[in-house]
Amino acid sequence: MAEEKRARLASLIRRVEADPFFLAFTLRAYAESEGLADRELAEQLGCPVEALDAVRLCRRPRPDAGFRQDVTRIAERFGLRVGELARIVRQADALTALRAEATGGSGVLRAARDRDVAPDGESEER
Amino acid sequence: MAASEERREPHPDDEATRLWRRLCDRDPIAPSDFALHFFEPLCAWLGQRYPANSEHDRVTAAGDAILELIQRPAAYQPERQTLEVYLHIAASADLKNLIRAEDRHARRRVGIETVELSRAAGKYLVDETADPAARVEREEDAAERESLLTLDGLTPEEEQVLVLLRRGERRTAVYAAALGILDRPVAVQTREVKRVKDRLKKRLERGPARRG
Repeated sequence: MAEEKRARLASLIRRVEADPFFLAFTLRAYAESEGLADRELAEQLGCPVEALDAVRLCRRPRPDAGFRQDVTRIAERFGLRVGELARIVRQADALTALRAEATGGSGVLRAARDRDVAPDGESEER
Repeated sequence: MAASEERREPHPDDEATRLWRRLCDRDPIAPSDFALHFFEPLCAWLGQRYPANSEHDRVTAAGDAILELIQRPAAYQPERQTLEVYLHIAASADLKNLIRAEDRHARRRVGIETVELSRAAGKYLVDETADPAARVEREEDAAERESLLTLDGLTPEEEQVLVLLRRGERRTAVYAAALGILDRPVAVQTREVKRVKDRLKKRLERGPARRG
């Protein structure tokens, strides 16, 4: 039964990994670009690998003024490293935007290109 | 899946409503809490309600209903019904849609002889968007759905029909599922669905109330 539940949840996770609304999309883009397995991603974030699914189902942090607030809230809830989560999200956003530009798409996360990330995860307008 | 495994601790409506409000407030953790709270019970309910359907389809339908509400929480109106009931209706409709889509896909796997003789499975088989008539029909449907977005003060039945109209649903059986009348004869389903749709049209003719 537990295995069936895991399989069902895994199918849901696969779906949200393809949807930029969810943090799963961002984490997948980052993990793929870095060649990270789940355990390595969890280690970077500072959480047990079992917590990754719940993290993935979170909404992607807003790219605007709410970025730090959202990142902090997610990190505190799941015991993640705030700065690391912020860095990963920004890096994944940049990758996504570059890919969208390369393929001629408008890019749902275009805003990420226009911002820098301070070491503490705070976003700053250029 | 054993019946005992489908039982679960009831979650009070107020907890569900709190989760829904957090979705509305764009709490970044709310989608995770909401999905983990409702996904597995919804899969279990679909398994009990539609045991003849495949596990894959049921899980997909449960995911459709939950992900849709996570991204468009305003589609649910707590004064109409509980969140659980809303998800049951939405997932049932999504499951019916899936089954019909699969049926359509299977029907399209026809021999070349049939393709040559059948317009329905022929010229427009590969690219539905190439059919000008279908495109006009879709545009008209979109315009109709847009006008329905402005309706207010709907009964619960009308609200469910409206949700389906917003999704562009066209099949009577899906509306019948939303209305909870799938166990009735097809003719009765057709009549009742038409009645609810006609009521909406009359509401529109009288002049819809505006939201917001």
